[in-house]
Amino acid sequence: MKKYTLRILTFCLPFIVLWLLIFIIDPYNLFNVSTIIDNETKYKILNRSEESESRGQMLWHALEFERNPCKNIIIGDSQSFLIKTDLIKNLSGNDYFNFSVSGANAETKFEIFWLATRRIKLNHVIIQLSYMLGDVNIFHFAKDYLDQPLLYFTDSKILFDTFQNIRYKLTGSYSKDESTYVFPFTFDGEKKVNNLLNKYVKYAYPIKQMEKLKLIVNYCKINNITIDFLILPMNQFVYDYFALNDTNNFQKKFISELTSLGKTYDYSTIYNLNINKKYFIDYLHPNQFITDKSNTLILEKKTIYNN
Amino acid sequence: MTFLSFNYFLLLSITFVAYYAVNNNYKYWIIFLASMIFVTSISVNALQFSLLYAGLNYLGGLSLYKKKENSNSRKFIFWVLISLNIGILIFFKYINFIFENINSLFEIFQTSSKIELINLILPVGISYYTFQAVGYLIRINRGFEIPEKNFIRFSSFLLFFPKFLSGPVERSNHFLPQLCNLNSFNQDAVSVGLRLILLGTFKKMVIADNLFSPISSVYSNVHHYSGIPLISVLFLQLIYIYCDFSGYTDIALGSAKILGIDIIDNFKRPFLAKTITEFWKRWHISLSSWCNEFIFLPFIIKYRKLGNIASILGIFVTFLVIGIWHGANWTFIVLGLLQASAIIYEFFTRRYRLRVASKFPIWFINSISRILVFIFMGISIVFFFSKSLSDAWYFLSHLFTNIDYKFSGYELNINLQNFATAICCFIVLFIIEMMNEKGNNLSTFFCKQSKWIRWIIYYIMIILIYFFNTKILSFTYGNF
Repeated sequence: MKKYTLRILTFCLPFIVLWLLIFIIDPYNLFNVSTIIDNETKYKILNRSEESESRGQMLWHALEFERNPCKNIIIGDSQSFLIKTDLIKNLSGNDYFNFSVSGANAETKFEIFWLATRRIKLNHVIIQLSYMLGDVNIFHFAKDYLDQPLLYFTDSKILFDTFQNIRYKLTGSYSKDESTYVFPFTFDGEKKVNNLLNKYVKYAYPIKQMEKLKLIVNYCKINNITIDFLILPMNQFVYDYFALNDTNNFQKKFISELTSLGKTYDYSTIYNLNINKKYFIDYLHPNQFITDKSNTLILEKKTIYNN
Repeated sequence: MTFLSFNYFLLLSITFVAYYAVNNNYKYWIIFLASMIFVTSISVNALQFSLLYAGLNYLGGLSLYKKKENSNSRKFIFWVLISLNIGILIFFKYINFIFENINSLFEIFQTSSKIELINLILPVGISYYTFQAVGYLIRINRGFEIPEKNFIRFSSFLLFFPKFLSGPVERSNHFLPQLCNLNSFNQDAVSVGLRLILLGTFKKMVIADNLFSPISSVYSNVHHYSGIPLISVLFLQLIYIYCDFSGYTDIALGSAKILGIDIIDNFKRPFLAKTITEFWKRWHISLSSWCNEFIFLPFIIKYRKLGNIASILGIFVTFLVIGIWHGANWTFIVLGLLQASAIIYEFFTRRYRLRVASKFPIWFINSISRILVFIFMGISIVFFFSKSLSDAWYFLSHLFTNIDYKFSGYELNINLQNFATAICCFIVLFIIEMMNEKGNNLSTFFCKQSKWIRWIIYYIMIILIYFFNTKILSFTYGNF
């Protein structure tokens, strides 16, 4: 039996080495023991593609929040990704945690809220919502690993991330995909943006999501948590597309319903800057200037800036 | 706890070490304890229920044996026990189905009465251990078996952890004698067991799970589809369910094997069956052979005076039970009746079919027969996956409407790379099964290869599992 056990252990040796590698590199700081690769690099690597940034940011922020829970939280998607918590701290004097995850739909954001409430008694929550609520809940990218930490060792995606980190450490380079929605329009880019927008044009009004949001608002009322909603601008092209497809009423209803639930900072057409492409990273995402501007306005408690 | 979890791996490893560390006389205690831990991991209620259930059948078996053969008291105890077992199953699994149908009748007759449905949690694995317990009692009643006097051994038979969730439907006369004669460490048995676990995991995670997405997309919203997507799913679903269930069975068999226990296999190359009758001798063997032994044979013996009519009725009753066993839904009843009709058709047209077949080369007839069996089973399985008869009817009636030949797989959420890998792996598996069918024992051939060749193949399988798994941890047959 001893010989046989030894043989099985020999057979398992390559896997043990791989698991050790994952443990040492720890691309998402699950164990947070090793410092061979710095956090900045790890974060850069997980944002290398659309696929990796959604799951990567979800897991990264969830683990980060588990370690350093914060009473004030900004929950959002890639639109609020650039919100600088340092800037908010300078303006308000309070610490904020930016839990914005690329590709997070409304349900993902709601689950992030509940995750946060399980970890700490919240004080202020800003939920960034978009008219385009999305249909894929990506919260499981955090939940899977939080529930079953051993999945970290058996998931090939984590292994890929580990190797990308090693590659960056050794060569200083890594493979980065370009965003689908980036300027200027190429034939493919236009097709992809149109496909995406088309999906939302056909999208039914998110009744279920609004019901879930009401639950959150009620919870916040009972527990004395301030909850605000934030709508960030998209490039004018997107609004024109919606207008062309006659879905403006849909958007108005969405914003008015949000306003009835809580303070809503609607910056969708902030100072009419959304006409100018230079204020946007791509069709859907405002750049740092607009994001910072929005933050300042929030802290001045100015809600609607259409003109 | 599912088979594809770290907890199961841990439980199996600890059981393995403890099992071979203790004296042979106490090994069954380890099996019992491991089974209890396994059931508790599902829920404490499941443990309480299954232990009570085991206790009922243990005492029932003993009291039945004490009574004189053919005495009225023995008959009485036997039927009370059978009614209790079947009654418990009906209560948990079918009571709401019965109520729903009674309510539908009330609606038809426009009466205001309505029976409220009961909010029940179906005890996990109940369909499997009920049939095992019923088989045990019938065998004792027939005088074919002596009841097990040791409760720990009996519970280990009924609740043995590798077969607790989804079978196979084990026979007491096959399992209990093994528990009384548990052996020391056998390297060959452990190797076979580990290979089976690897093969089962491979079938499940690389093939079945990567075929699941189109099937789930279609059946969750069947009315959105027509034409090519439905035809694709018609052909994929049988491969999916085979790899999912046989994958599960292989893991169960392997887990038992590493503890030196053999349990009944469920599959014997079903895609190579040339008739539906043969298909059911190769598909879910433990259930179909159980139904053959305890339903079909007693039925035709009892009504043998009726001649062929007894066989026809026997087939219908047997497949009705097989259909209903799968779940409380009319779709499963239709599934069973379809199988019965096909088998009866084969029974009555056998001579005619043989006469037609004699005019063609044998390879041609074999191939055509296998394809026809595959198509028939594909059509039948529509009733297995459909939520209702209307969904199943929609599926079958829209197979050839709005056919768009530019089908890209996009609308079925197919990940092309994973899908292609799954199909390629299934083809390899099918070729291996064909070679085995022709009498080439590939398993022995494989074992004769050098360690390095075997290890390379194991590594390839593990790498494929690692890179192509979709993290679906549940098994379709776990729902029954």
